[in-house]
Amino acid sequence: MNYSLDPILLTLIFSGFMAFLALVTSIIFLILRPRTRHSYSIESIEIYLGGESPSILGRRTPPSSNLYWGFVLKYAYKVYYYLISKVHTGRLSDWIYYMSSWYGFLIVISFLLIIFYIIMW
Amino acid sequence: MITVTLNEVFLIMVSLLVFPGLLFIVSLAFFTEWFIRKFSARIQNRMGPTYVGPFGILQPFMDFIKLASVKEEIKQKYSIDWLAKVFGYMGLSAAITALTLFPISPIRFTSDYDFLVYVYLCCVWVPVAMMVMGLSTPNPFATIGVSRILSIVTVCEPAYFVAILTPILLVTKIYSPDNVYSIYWTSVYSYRLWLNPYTLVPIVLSFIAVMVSLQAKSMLQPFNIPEAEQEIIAGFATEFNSQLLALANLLHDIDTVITIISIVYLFLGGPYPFPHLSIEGVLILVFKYLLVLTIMTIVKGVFGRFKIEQAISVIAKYSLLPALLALVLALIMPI
Repeated sequence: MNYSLDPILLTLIFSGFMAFLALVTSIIFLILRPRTRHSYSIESIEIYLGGESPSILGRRTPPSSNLYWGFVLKYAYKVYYYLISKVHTGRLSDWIYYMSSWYGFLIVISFLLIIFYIIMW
Repeated sequence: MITVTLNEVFLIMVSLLVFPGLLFIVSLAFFTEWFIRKFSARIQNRMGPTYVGPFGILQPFMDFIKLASVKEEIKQKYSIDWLAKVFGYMGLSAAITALTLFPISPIRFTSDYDFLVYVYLCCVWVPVAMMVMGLSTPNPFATIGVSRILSIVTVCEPAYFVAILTPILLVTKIYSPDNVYSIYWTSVYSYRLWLNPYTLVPIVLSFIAVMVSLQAKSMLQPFNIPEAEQEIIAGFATEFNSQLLALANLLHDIDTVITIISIVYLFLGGPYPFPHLSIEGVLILVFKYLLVLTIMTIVKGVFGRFKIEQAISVIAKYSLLPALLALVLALIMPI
C-alpha cells in the first residue's frame, strides 16, 4: 500500500512514528531492566581514566622507583635474553656443552672454596 | 485531508513493530553482527562466536539479553543516564522509521524529495544520538571518541548523501513515472541503471563511494579509529554499561543494517524485476544483502586501522570524490 504525501506532512508523520517507537523501545527496556537485589549501585563511581588508581595516574612526574624498572627492562633483560638465546640454540650438543661447562665451573668453584676453607681452618 | 481506516492503522503498526520494523530489524541486526564477527574471525583464523546456538548464531542476542537484563547498572558520578537513554531510543526509532520509505515495508510512504527525510532520519538523528550518548557520560576517552566520530561524520555523511543522490537523480530523469524524486521509485527502477551503458559509469562510481562510506558509517576497519581499543579504551562507549551499552550496540548494528538495506535497494535494485512476495525476489534480496555484507566484512578483515587524518583523506579520496564525479556525470547526462 502506497501513500503519496506532501514532504512536510511526511516529516510530521515520521516524527510521530519516531515518538511512538521511542516509547515502545523505552517500555521494552524498562521491562527488561535487571531485577537483581543490587540492580542499581547506590554509590556513583569516578570517571574511568585507566587501569591504575587516580593517585598514580594523577602524578605529574614518574616516581624514582621507576629507575629500577627502567634498569630491569632496558638492561637486565638484555643480559637474560643473551644467556637464554645462547642456551636455546635447538641443538642438544650445545645444551650439553653449556650445562657441562656451567657444572664444571660450579665444581671448580666448590673445589676452590673447599681448599680455601681447609687452608684457612 | 487523509482518511485512514482501521485496517491501514493495523498495517502501519505491523510495519513499525513487526515487519520490517522493530522485531525484524533487531533480529536482522543480531544476524548481521554475528555474520561480521564470525566471518572476519574465520578470515583471521580465529573461531568467532561458537557456543550459543548453531555456529554461535545466537551470541549477539545473548550478549544483548545479558547487558539489558542481567548486568548491574553502574552509575558514573557525572553522567546523565536518562539523556543518554532518551537519545538512544530516539536514534533507534529514527532508523526504524526510515524503513517505511523502502519497498520492503508493506505500507510505504513516498513524497517528492523524501530522500531528504531519509537523510534527516539516518544521517542526522543516528550520529547525533551516538554523540549525545557519548557526551552524556563524560570521560576523556569518550570526548576523544566523539570528536573523532564528528570528524569522520563531516566527510562520510556528505559522501553517502551525494552517492545516494546519483541513482535517485538518474532514475527520476529516465524512468520515474511521475517525475518524483523518491526512494520508492528509485528502488523499483535502479537495477536498470546497471543495464544502460549511459548510466553504468555513474552508478559504478557512486556504488564504490557508498561502499566506502558504509565502512566509515559502521565504524569498521579501516575506519574504526573512534573506538580504537588499544588507544582510547572504547572511545565514545567507554563509560557505557548494562542497558546503555546494550542500547548503544543495538543502535550501531541497526545503523549498519539500514545503510546496507539502503544500498541494496537504491543501488542494486532490491528484488526487482521480481516482486517481493516471490521465491526469486526473496532469494535475490537475500543474495544482495549478503553480498554487500560479505564485501564489508572482507574489507574489515584485511585492513588495519587508519589514523584519523588518514581515514579522513581516504574517505575524501575514495568516497567523496567518486560520489561528486558520479553526480556531475548524472547531471550532464544527455537523456
